Amino acid sequence: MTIANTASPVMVVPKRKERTPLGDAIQQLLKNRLSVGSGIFIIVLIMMAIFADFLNGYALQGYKINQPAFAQQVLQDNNAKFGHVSESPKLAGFVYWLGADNLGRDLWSRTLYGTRVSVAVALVASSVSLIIGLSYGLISGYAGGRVDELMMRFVDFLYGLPILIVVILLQVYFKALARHGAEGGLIGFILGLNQAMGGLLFVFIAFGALNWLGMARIARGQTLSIKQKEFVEAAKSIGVSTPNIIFKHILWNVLGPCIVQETLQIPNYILTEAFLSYIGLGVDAPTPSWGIMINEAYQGLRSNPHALFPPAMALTLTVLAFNFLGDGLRDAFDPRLRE
Amino acid sequence: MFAYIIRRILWSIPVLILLALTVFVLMRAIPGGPFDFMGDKTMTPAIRKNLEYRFHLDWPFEWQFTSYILGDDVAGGMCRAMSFLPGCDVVQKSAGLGISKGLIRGDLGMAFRLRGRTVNEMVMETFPISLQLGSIATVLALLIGVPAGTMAALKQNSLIDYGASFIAILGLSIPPLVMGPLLIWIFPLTLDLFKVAGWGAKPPFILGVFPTSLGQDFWIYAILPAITLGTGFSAAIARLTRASLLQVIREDYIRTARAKGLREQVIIVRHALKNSLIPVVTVLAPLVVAVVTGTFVVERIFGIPGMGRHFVDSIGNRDYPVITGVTLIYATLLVAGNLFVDLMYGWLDPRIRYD
Repeated sequence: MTIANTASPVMVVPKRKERTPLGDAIQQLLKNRLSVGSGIFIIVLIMMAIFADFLNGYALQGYKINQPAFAQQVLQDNNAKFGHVSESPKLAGFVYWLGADNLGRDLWSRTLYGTRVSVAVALVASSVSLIIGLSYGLISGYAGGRVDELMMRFVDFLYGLPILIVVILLQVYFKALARHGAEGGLIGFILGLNQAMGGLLFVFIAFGALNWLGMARIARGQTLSIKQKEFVEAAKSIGVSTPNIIFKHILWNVLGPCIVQETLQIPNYILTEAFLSYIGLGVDAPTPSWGIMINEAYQGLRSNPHALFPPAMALTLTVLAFNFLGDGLRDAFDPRLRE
Repeated sequence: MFAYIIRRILWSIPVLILLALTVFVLMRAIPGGPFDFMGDKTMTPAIRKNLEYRFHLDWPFEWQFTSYILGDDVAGGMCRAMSFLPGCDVVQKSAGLGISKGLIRGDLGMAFRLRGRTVNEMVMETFPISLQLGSIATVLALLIGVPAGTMAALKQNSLIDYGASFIAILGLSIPPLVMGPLLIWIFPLTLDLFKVAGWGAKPPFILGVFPTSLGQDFWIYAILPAITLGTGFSAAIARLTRASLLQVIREDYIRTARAKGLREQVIIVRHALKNSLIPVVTVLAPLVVAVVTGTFVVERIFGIPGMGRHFVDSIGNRDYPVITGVTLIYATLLVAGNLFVDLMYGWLDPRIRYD
């Protein structure tokens, strides 16, 4: 064996696909059939929310109505059961696939429009919480020292507040403000916007006020551990600016766990909105929210229990799907849980 | 540890005062007041003036808050001593009415809309009911959740495991808002079993909290709300117990215990289960919150005369002292729950030290 010999044979390395943590996680996620199914379900749900104007019972069955479908009142068909065929002059032959509520409004259409509220709450509330919490946690964790302590003390402080009650109080305040009205100015503009959104804007604001706290804690913890990693040291040593370190190096590593956490929170947002609407502090009637629909069905539970099922099923399935998806994401992004 | 507890309690005081202030500001920022209407009619200005005088609503905001925290006699005293302070002339006129001894003396004030009732009385009557409901639900959740999670973990990847996990996530996803009306429809309305709109235990309660009898009359009202409230929790507990027990039974000290020849039961209960409950306790903190606010939802659905219902009613009535008082009670409960959970960690995991 000579020295020359060792250099001559070329090592043949079998070509391997490049693997990134993100790619691994996605592959892991795709293996989880329940999560994939849930993901598809959620995408369908979002599509239904977007195209509700074309998918509601009236549009699908070719009935042209002036009012938005969810507000259409046909008192003749009130409390119609599943599959009831209308005989009222305006809607002769119209089939109520899922029945009608106490005002004769088609339950399929209302449930469909209710999707809009829930999907909007799921997406907007989680994004707001993610953005505020992530920025807060990044700054706090990266700054460290006194700033960190002060910022986290503030979070601890707010954490002592009962979130649902604060949300309810805020909603009471907003509702009264909306009832009272305001002329012009910023408040007038916000009130107008809120009215146009059927009361959703205030729901978003109330949710955004406190729900970022948990996210801030997680983001801070992640930032603390990542800022001590070698690659951040290396970036610092070659003189990368602080914003660049935060946004290019730390943010992307913190984002994964934060998104997973946020996904797990989504059912919570949907349920809170449903409850607020149930007690009349969420979106404004006649905007259909599943919470409002459950409340209306509950009022007539003795005589017309069928009205309960469409919104109840929709709410349960949606929460179930987000739970499965969140679980799948968590398993996929946490290598410790892999087999 | 004693110092730790004291510090935690002291730390919660500014939180509670800030909360009281927030509620105060929010409620008074709302246009209109609690005495705008009397029944369906608009209240006559003279009566309204009298009522506002009676309840110190004519005072400047900062004096109202001072009176709420310290008592109106103290506020009056402060004004007598320092009459140059703004708003003192109004305060001195009605400071002697003595409607509130102040939060620091444990007085939550008088209800505006329920004549002659104090918030303390209302809380004493309704809070035990909420507490009973919450406790039954928690016990139910633990009784179902921990054994189910343990079974699933011990028979990992078996039919039992899959079944339990599936039921758990289903239970987690059926919100009380759906479960409640559904149970009401199935049992009281269709099968004529159990009762709703009421509660089986009436004041006076033993020690101010416990129902005087736990007979059929009690359970006939309690069982459905407790199931509604407890299902989600038991599912959450089962999932956590399973996940954490799976981790624990692979630890070295479990193998050691097996090697020593301990009985399987002893290994699971004494060595594995106790350690696997630490993460479960972690979620008990949010669970305490969820029980507290959950009773709120369930009371609303089942028509239980608990504190949550008072809260929602008082919001509609603009009854400031009731809203503030009930909010503070909830917040105090939250603080106490969190503290209890933190102390439980120490008991379960001796490595944790309080400093």
